[in-house]
Amino acid sequence: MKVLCVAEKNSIAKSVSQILSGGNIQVSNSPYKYVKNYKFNYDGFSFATGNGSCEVTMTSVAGHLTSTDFNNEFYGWGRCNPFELFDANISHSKNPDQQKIGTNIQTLARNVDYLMIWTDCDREGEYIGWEIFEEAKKGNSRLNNNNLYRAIFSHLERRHIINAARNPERLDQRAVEAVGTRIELDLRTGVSFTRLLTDTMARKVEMNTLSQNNNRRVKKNKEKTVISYGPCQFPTLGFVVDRHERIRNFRKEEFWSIQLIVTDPSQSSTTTFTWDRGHLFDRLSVLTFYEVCLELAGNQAKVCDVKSKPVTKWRPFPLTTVELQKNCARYFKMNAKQSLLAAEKLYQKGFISYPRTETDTFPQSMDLKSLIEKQYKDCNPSAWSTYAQNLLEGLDSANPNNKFRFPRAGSHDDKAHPPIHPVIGIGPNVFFDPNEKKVYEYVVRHFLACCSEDGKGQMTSISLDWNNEVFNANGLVVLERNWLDIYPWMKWENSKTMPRLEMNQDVTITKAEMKNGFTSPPKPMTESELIMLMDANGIGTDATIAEHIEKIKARNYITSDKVSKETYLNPTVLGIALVQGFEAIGLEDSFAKPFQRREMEDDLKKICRGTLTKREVVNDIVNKYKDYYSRTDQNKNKLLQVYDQVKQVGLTA
Amino acid sequence: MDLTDSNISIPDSNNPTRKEVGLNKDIYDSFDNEPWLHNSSQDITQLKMMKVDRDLLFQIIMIEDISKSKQSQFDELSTRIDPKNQRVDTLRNSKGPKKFDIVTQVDLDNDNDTPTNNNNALGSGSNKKTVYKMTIQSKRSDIFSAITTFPFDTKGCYWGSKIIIKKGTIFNRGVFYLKEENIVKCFGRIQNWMENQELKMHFYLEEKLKRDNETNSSNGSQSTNSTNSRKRKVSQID
Repeated sequence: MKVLCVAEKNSIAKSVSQILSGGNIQVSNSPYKYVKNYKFNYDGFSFATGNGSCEVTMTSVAGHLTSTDFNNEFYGWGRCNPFELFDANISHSKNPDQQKIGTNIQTLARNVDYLMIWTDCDREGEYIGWEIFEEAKKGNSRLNNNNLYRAIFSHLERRHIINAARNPERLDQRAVEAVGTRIELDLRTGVSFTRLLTDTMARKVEMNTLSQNNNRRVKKNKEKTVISYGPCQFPTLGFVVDRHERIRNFRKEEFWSIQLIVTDPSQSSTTTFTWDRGHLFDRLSVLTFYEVCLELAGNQAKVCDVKSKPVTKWRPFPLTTVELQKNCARYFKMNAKQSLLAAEKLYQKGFISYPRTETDTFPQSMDLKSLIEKQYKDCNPSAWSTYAQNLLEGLDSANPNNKFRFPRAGSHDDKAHPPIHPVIGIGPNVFFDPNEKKVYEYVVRHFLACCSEDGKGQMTSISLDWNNEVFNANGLVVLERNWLDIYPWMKWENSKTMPRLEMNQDVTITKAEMKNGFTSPPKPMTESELIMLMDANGIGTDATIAEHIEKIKARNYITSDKVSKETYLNPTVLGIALVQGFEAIGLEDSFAKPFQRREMEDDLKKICRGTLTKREVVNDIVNKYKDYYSRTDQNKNKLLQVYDQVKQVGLTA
Repeated sequence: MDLTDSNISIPDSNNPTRKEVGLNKDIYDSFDNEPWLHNSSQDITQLKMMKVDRDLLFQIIMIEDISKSKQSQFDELSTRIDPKNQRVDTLRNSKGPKKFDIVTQVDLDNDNDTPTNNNNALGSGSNKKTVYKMTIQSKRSDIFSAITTFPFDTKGCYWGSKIIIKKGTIFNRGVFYLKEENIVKCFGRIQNWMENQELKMHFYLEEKLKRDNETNSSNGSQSTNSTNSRKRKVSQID
């Protein structure tokens, strides 16, 4: 029996081949220099049992095998009215590299009995699997759905891969349809609106850029300005512009509060009690509270509540892609693209599990202890190897209660991949790339934290009653740090000592103060904030969020500005003008807000569930965009006017 | 019914309905009572800790939630009035149609258990600590303020609703200090006041924010230099 296995990347093909073959492989080149063919024998496939060892050829693609586009002869830029693109025929073509890869697959498929897809287990991977199947059929007409299998795997640990080879499933045709829908819609809406926007605004933007550059004596940029539209790009831009607008329109407000200061003679220390009502935005009202309390209760308050209760600092949930990107941005100031790229390289090297996952729950059957074990048995001592060993063996005399605990279960499960976790233990000297080193360390520490005990503390809260107004003070004593010892980015520390007071005890107030303050403007958007907003609102996927952010930077819709240690995202004149321009046309909810994209994402999920078809979704959304296009086309001048207005007002006005 | 309408007539004190114990009797009695500080030549902001010596009837001109910033209330109203144009960059649950619900849950420091310093978003809903400031009007059109010091349910309190402030209430610098036992809600409303209430409130908040900022700006450096911890009043208690 002959089996052709095809992975999404060469590094995966190589790793899987090594595992299945036990190291006995013949490697040969393919027509495309970055793809190799691996030949070996393997007898574990369930579909070929009883037929002895199979002759396996494993190869790969390099991402998508085809590109979807319009026929350039009829629908190239300037050759048609962009409106025609909503109904134009779409063709699947290959660039020269894709042609080489396709030829390789056709050749290798010629005499095989089975085709097994080893692409990444996500919706996109399912679609690439279908592209591979279509290509393989060109070389072997005997291939059909009956001899097509799909490996389900999420990392490159040996047992996991062998299990995937032994228990293949079928390609999910509905997921393929969903991705096909997304590709078609992105193409039709993206190309038509990009041409419309570029034809309308590019000249003006170029002139403006030129005059600015002349003023600044900067070299002229000869690249043609493209003003692109993308159904994820624009809502991403919308978040940043909305924040900018909020800052610009911010009006500070004064607020007032009351606080009591009590001196503890036994400890010669003072404790500040804050008002249970927080602060109020009306001076006269606070003054009334203050004067009435002062007049009726003087300097006497009574203890109305004393609580001392154990508090818990929860260990983190298992790690998802978005959490990884968010925290790498917060802790290491890495942007989303950098952290995802580093994580993917770590995955391809077999160091961590598949890094594109929404799942924050480990399956109960997963052997997490063996993964922790690898962190001190498989590698040279690292900063966390002793912690890992103590966690399993309970050897830490300072933290005897910090023993292995199965991680908390989050509420997300994409049914494809487990949370991100380290697969093997490696020493600190293995890394040459500093980003990979940081991300690996973060993944390991986060994983160990997940498998540790929660932090334990004791919180004492005292409340005072001053003429029926309640004032509170809290004090924390940290008893057991546990997971916090391996997660240095999280602070949890003892607070000030509390006075010794008992319930109903009369307390003499040393000082009663009425204080004021002002609201502060929000800070500009950080990348980690933007990632969370995109994730929460269904803009992009864990795999594409970073690309969308990079795209709007590349298009000069936003800039990334470093202020002190933080990097903020700010919109440019063009970015603001695009958002405000569509608002002026009356298409605010369709372009720069997340509503439209979220609706489409819901429709794609319905395709996956079988309640909608690709045709239904495409027709519905294309019709909406035709209407948006006509309205935009009729109001082109408004876009230009808004651009001029934004330019005149400036970014800081 | 507008309390300031000079044509209002109520049953006289001998009428049997005035003898029946109940809300009507309380309303009539308080209406009959001498209005609070009418024709007083004193500056009411200098009147401290006065005790109300009779039941007083007022109508509510406006109720404001002073536990929340005006900006956050303005944003919430803007979203309700025009959900398509809501700003989508901060933590706030949308009040608009479901289609325009926006998940804007960004609290980066949530893990730290430290209180957020974003004073613009003090939570969208009111709670038992919320303080409402009412602008109230007597039958002689005199205007005062009143603040709630107990968990106050604004349900049934509209613009034009009547309230009775009972004998014993403290009045300080133009403000009634309302306790649960000394206020009676009599409900009602004035229909033309209620028309386009959200738009009126929206406009009011916008103008108030503008005015406050102009005041802050004209105070200039004093305000800027005073920063967030300027003490407005300090009382040393011996």
